[in-house]
Amino acid sequence: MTTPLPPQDPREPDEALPGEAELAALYRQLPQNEPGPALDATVLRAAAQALETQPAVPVERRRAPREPGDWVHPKPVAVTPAAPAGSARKLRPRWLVGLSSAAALVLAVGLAWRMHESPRSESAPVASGSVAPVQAEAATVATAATNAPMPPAPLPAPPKQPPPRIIAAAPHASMAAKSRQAVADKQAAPVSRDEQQLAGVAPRAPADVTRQASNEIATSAAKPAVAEAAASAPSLQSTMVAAPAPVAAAADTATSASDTPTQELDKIRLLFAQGHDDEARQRLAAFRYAHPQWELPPELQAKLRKP
Amino acid sequence: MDAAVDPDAMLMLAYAHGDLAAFEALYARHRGMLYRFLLRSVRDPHRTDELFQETWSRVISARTRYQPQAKFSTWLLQIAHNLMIDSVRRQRPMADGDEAEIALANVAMPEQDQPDHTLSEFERRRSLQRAIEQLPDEQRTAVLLRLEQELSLEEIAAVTGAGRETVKSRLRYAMTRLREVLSE
Repeated sequence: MTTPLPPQDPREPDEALPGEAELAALYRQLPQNEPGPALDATVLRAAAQALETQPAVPVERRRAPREPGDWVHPKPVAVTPAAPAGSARKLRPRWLVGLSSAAALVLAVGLAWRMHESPRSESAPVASGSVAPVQAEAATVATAATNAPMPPAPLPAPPKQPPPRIIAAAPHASMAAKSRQAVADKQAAPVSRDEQQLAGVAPRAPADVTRQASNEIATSAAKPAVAEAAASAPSLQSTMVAAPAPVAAAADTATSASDTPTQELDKIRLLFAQGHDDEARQRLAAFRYAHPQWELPPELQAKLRKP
Repeated sequence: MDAAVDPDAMLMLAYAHGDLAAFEALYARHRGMLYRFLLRSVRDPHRTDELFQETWSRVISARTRYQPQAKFSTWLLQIAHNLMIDSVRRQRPMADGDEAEIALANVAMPEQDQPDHTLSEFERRRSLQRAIEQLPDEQRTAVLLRLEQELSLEEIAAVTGAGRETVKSRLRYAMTRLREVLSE
């Protein structure tokens, strides 16, 4: 059995200050003031009342290291006096957790929906920009060629193009659609509508035209002379004959430095067909001057001779 | 300090568990010294009563979280000292010398201090009392804690929040001054 040691005298290590004993003796002779009975009663009554109102008000624990004398000023916690079964301290975190979970779920679903929708919305401008006009034109051509005996055999599937980038800006997509449209029109330009009807070929589906135009864009870098290659491929040319005429012909008849003589002659023919005889003759004269050795077709020679 | 060896701490713990008699015993042991410390520090009976009551109110309200890490008397004086500092900051100046003298003299003197004693002893006590009042606040507090409560340097340092050497220096200056006054 161990016996607790008596408390050490805290003054033991202190050396007595000079004259302290005399001052202490004199100090002890000073009046021994004490609190009055009323003050005693007040304090004792407060102590008794505190016990009657147990439990005492909890006091907030400090998290910072306690400084000397700091803990004598406790901070009473402003708690609700009667906390029923689930105390407010527990209810608040539960409520916050539920709300934050719901918010995170909504955010995740929204992001997933957005990412699911974004490829469709970005491919829409391409389809509307290229297919819709061609489709309308194709409908007019199809009504004109109702007597077509049989549609030609469908072309073999064009080489697969690498899939377009999913994430692309909308303006970029519309510009790509315009370029595809221009190439498709360029391919279809040399043939007049009369020739199409005479050929007795049904127009190709607009989607095929668009696909062909896309392939043309992909191969244009490797093949500068697209027109010659197209001319050397009869099947391809026949399909291009059936392609609908472009709607915006003015853009296709513009002079381009990259045009081959054949393309330039086709544009001049198109100008004559559209009734721009003056511009066509000027272009023809310029072509004659630039290519004196080129043998002009008879109809163009006739146009050139006309005043 | 261990609670098992401090009877005051055990009384405080007992009061925290609902023993009112323990508090009454604790109060009886410390009421006089606390009151004198406050009275001689603030030198105003009314403020002394307020601070005395407020100090015990703090003790009562802190009973459930009381941990006997120090002597109970040290803790009690620490509360009183902090309240006194706050009070001094709020309302200055203190009572002047005459008012303080009246307040300090308005108590029953010991029998040996009655008028049949020599005038020199009376004058010496009065001189000591005035000299203590005229000390700077920090020195006066240190002297009162030393002479009235008989606290060690470490305990005074704990109560006042000052370092041990600082307390020692204050005591040296204060006692030198008191001796000079008494020798005049």
